[in-house]
Amino acid sequence: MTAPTGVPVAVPLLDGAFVRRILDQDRHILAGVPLQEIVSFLDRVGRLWKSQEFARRRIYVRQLQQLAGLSAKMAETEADIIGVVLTSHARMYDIIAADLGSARVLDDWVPREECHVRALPRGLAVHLLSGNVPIASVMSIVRGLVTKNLCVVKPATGDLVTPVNLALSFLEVDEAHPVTRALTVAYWPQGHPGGELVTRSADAVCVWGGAGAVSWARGAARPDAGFVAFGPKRSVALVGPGADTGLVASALAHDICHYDQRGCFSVQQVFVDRASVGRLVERLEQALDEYARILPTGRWSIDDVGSVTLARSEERFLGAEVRSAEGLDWTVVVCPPEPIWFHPLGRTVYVHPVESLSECYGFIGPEVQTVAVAPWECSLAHRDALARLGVSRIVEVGLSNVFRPGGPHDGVYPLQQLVRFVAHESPASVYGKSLVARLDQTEIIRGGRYTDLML
Amino acid sequence: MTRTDVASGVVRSSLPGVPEIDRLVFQTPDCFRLPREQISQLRPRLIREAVRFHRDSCPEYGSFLGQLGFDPDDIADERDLDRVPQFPASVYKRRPVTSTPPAEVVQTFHSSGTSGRLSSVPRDEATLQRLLGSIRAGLEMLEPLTGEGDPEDNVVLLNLGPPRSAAGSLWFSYVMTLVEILAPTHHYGTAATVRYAEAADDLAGVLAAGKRAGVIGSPLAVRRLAEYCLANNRTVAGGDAVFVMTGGGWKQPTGEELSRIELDTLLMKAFGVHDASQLRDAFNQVEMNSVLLECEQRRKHLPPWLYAVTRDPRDLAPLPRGAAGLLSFVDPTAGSFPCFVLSDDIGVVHEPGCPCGRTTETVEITRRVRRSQELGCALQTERLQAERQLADLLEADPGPRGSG
Repeated sequence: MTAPTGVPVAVPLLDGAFVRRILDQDRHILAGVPLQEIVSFLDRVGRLWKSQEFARRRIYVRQLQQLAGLSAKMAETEADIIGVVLTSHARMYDIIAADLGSARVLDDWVPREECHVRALPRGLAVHLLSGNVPIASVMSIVRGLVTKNLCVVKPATGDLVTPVNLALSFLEVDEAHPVTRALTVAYWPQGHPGGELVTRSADAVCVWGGAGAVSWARGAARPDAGFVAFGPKRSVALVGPGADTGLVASALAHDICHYDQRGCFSVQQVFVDRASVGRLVERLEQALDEYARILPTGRWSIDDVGSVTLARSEERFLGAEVRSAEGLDWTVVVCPPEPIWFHPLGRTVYVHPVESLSECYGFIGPEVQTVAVAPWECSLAHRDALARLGVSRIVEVGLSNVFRPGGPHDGVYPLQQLVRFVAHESPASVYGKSLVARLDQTEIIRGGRYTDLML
Repeated sequence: MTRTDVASGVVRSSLPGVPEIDRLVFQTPDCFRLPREQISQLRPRLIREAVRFHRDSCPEYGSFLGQLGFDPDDIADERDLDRVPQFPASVYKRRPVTSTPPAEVVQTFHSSGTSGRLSSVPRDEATLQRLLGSIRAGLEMLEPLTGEGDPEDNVVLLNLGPPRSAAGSLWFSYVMTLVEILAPTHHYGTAATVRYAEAADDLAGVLAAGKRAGVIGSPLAVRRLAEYCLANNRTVAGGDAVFVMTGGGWKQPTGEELSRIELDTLLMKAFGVHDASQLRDAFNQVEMNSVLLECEQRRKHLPPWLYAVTRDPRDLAPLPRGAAGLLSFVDPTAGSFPCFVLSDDIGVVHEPGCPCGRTTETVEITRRVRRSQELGCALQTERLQAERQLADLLEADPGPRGSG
């Protein structure tokens, strides 16, 4: 096959024997492994990833540039983020607690009201990844492993290298470790019967990507399988009166430039208080120029380049003010608010002057994941309306890619779909809040006292 | 309306003269074989005239030229045609852009895209007539396929799309029905389905009657007919009596491009076609007013009035002939809208010199630019499609309140 950069890549295809090995694996290989052991293993691997001398990381950084087209700085940053994610053990516990109510629930029975509850792995979790944001692959895999699932990961053609190198780094640290043995990376093209069989056999499916990928996975997954879908989404920013235009421009540039706008959380449109537009755009140009230096764009395909150029030309024809770098590093289009149907990405931002930030409401729906806001006080004024419109997150400008522990991801707590909760309920001797006597239902029926005793 | 010059005795018409573009489209036999020098002279003239007209008649285009400081009179010869200001065809998905008063619009046509917003392009009578003229002019390329004698008697066309009465404003379906000008045509499609079994029956019937059959349709529809024939033991030994004309997009429902080589193999097997030259493709889009047909060498020829250039995707600078880039067109046959468009197709414009002997350039369309809309707008698209479905439903069955 051909990587997005046009480099030919040989990828072993899933064959019948491989499918059999996947399906014959012990789906509960991690079920008895304490969470701390899993987190500790990830930490060991992550500490290696933090070192620029780690051979696997060096290979990964090189491959990200050669095959996925990231710039050297973007690739190094991505490797750094992998190290940070794998070693952020405290954060992992917080995320598990936020998603599942308690981190201990993965290891032990945890009291919850009148029950003891335990979260068991679903079993085989299939991850169908997208190639737009490499770290998303890592997040998906970590989620699958900390919930003790057997993970089969299908990389996207856009990023074949992140899951493969992550899995190889596990092997290099300890090939016999249950976490290593619980991770399989396998590629199959669209329509491949083996891939379909693996997906249909999964106890949980986690899909990232476009509408087509999500629809396919929804159809292929078993009705009783856990299912988590991420995408497609877009994100916007609001800049109200009184913002420090210098600081906001710099923060906005970050949210526009990270991943060259390929992330669901990447800001594509900015609704700006009309009085501040001139100053903001001026400072934004400087900030985008700075980002072209400190985080240069990746290598773009002819489609990426053509999309940006056509968008610039289209907006100029329609009378918008189009400002851009001399090359294709960034584009700022200043125009009245309207839906952007063909956003070209590539660090292109549509700036819409508005009298009131509430004018953005007509252009926001459930397809919007993140709304980045400045100044922060404005977020309090608009969060109720934005929530009703369907957005998933409201963050401060400059933090669009930082998912704080406690927050849902695209409206859900994903770990809940990766576990199976089991309740060990209290016996009759436990009165509970709904009773003031022993729970003897026969006696209650005999006495006809259902409404007296049961609340 | 005539008057006679008394002195000379010459009778002069007071009707307006036929514009040069119409003389070329309608009154120039073998226009694809005009001498190169003649094409080099007439193209800049026709395009200069068209640019002037749209500058003065289309406020958006006039303002665009003003922004760029472009004067149509700067078009002196063919070398200046690269400089004609063009805009992306996708503009027609966002705004009505027209050079004609609404009263003169015969019909506004729409693209058949399923990926979101549709292009809306208004056409007046003259513009539609010239579209038809461009097809008629190109039909000579099909002559070897239709055999000797009058195609009206010897050829039956099987259109896997709807008849014109059912084509509505869908441009692709409308254009495909225009093959009727070549030979008697049967239609097998509705807006949603194609009656492949009936088409397969008729194909066999036409051949049994000793006539030639032309199968017309989108690459996908033609493929499905071939697959139907193969799966149901209905293949025919067409020999040189069958030809296929495809038009429209090569994208499959999966989003992947159909392979032309694979389609050729399939069609030869299903229809017993002797030679790949019997399998032709045509190129057009709703934002263009000329149809590019393939010659016997399977090369898509530009008509002599149409100018095409590929542009560098990085800065839209014109590229030399033979270099792949974004295809762009300057089509002076459109009167009701400025047809100076940057398409989102990647392709190549080749110098004249086709072995078929025709003197115009040829165009090779490689594929569509993959624009990123899917990443963010799939849900908007879904909503739009749901709205369209609801509108269709309400039209078909408005319910007691709607009808009352």
